[in-house]
Amino acid sequence: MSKYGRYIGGAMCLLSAICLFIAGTTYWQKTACYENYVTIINQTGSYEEELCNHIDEKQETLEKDKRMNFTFWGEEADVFISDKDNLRQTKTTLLTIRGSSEYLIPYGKILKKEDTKGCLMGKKTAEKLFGTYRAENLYVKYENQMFQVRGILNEPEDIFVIQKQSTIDAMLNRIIIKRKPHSTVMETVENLCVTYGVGGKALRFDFYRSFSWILELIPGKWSDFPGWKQNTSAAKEEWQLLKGSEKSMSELKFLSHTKKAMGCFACGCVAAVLFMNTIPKKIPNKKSAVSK
Amino acid sequence: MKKIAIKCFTIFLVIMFLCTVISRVADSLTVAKVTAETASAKKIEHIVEAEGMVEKNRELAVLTESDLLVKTVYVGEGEKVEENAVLAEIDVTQLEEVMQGIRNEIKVMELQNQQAKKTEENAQTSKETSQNRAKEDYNRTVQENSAMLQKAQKELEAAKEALNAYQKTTEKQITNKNLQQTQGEGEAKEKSVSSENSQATPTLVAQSQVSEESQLESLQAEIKRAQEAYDSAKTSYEQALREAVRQVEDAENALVSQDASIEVNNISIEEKKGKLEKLEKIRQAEGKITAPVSGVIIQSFLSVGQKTTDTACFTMADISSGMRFVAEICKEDAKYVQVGSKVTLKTAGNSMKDLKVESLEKNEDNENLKVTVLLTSDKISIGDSATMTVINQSELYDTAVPYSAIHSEDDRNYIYVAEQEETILRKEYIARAIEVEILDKNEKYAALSAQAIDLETKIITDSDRYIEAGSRVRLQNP
Repeated sequence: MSKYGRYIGGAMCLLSAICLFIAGTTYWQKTACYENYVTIINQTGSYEEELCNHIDEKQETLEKDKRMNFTFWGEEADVFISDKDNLRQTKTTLLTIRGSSEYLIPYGKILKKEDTKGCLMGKKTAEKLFGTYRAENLYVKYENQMFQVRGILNEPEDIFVIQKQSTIDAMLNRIIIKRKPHSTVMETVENLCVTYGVGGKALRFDFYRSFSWILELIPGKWSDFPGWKQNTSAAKEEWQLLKGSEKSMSELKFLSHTKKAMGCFACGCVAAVLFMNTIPKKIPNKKSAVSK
Repeated sequence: MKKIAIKCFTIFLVIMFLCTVISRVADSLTVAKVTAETASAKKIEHIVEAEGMVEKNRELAVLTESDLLVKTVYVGEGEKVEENAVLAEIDVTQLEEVMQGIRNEIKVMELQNQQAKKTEENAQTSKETSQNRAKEDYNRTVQENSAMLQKAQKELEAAKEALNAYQKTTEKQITNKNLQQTQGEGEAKEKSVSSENSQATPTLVAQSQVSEESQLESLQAEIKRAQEAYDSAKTSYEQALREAVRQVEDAENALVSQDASIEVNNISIEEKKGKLEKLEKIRQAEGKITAPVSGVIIQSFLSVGQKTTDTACFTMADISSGMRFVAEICKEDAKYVQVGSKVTLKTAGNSMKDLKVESLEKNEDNENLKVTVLLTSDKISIGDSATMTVINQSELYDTAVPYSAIHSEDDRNYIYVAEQEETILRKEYIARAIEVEILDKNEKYAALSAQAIDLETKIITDSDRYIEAGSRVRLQNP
């Protein structure tokens, strides 16, 4: 390879590495919002309205420091929504929540729990329905009810978010809960169960995000081999649950971003290594070259 | 040397330029782009919307006589009718038969009344006769029995007198005897010769004593008998008298059975005459049932070929008394609606403004509130559905922000604001969390307490990625 080809190649590897690292960081940052949140799934079906009402009542009786912040939610694909006059219709993914949307979509505009007449909409859904993503304050019709668009979401793009109402038949089979500082995923789940009587299994998305779950494998004593075995099989079960459970759109986005970030970092590392290879080991000395 | 220096410098500048570009690209990709707004003075509007129906304000029943055969029904439910419009028609032939039947019934009852009257009169006459007879019997009884009593009394008195007389006589005789005895003793000495006489005298005395005693006894027996006769006569008299008196009393008190059937018949006759009058009116109207007022038929209870009943034939909504709109609102919205609140009603093609809430009523089943609004407009009809809108404006708040910008955690509300900070490279915006207190809110805006922020603070209302306190942000135009 000629000298200049080597330089160009090296520059391109460097550039690629930088771009890949930046891209990886960008994707990684997009997954950062889920670091403080835990998703719990109800394997038996939907959380009943009575349970949700009971939890609301319980929430009001608890002291502030014992309260937990969470949102019930459920997703349904391929629902049809239309504009106010039924002139245009589009298919989208319905995300029904019971609580604040900020725990589920921790960016963008927030759909409050009391706001049963508002909705959030993905950018792509807005473009399909209204022809533009600037659709705030416009009205959407779903199941003969009108919802006013409160905000447009960049991600997920094809989504329609509303608050659960008695007139809307939707399944709420997941809870997203914000972890308290310095508490682990399992502690959070246990706390939820004990405080509110809510059951469910945690979806360990943190397996993708960090390595702190490795610490959970360690039993009380290092020599406690049955403990190791038990913790490992529990982790394995959780991993299988994570792999096997149906993912929502936002969860799929999270996984997609995580994979992309990992991919970008890996490719960036490769590019960096290649760049390193293009750097000459010795800078040729002109005097010695001339003397030769 | 110079060339190398220039070359190096050029390469340095290119690298710097590339690094600048790369850093700017990296910055634009990694820094969150946020939309910020400033707080503004606003009144928080609470819009209460509810769907409801237009109902009649006054409902009335169209009545007719029962048991009339329906020939034709001209209207149906929901149909609007004018005053005096024909709603249905009764079979006149059958009507006349019914009327004739009633007349016959009246006749029968009148005849019954006559019969009853006669019976009553006869009974009265009979009573008077009984009374007279009883009085006659009484008088006769008194006469006869008092005569008998007097007779017995006389006999008794006679017997007593006889006894008295005898007693008197006996006393005289005894007195005379005593005088005679005294004289007799003197003479007896003189006449003691005759022992026969002296022997004959006690016998005569004994015989006279015996006859005196028997006579006394008989007189006493006679008195006794007379007394008994008198007592018996008296008892008989009293008994007969008592019986006669009772008979007279019975005769006077004898009830002439008041036959109430006359009164009952009279009442029935009146009723039937009244019904006949009503039927006559229907007959004069050729059997037509008309609407008493302009309105809308709510329910029809008539069927062709069936007979009318004693309940309503039709129920109508009276348009002249207006209409009312009724809707339900949940208890959370109830605090924004009061009696007198302004209401706007919208139907498919119309809009009515400046209406007022007439009344609020709690629905006990579900704790919702029933709102009533009176309507007088022609633009809307009974049975139409409409949407009610009540706008309640709060006081003016100095600091109002979009509600979607407020984050909640553990009952704490906070907002993110973009604050400018000097960094090594340049001025950058950093997100800061500020705790706020919400004074009032609706779905779009929330009024915050004045101390929280000022009108120049840039409040982050939207971001394209997750931010937290301390994150670098880039402001973008909305």
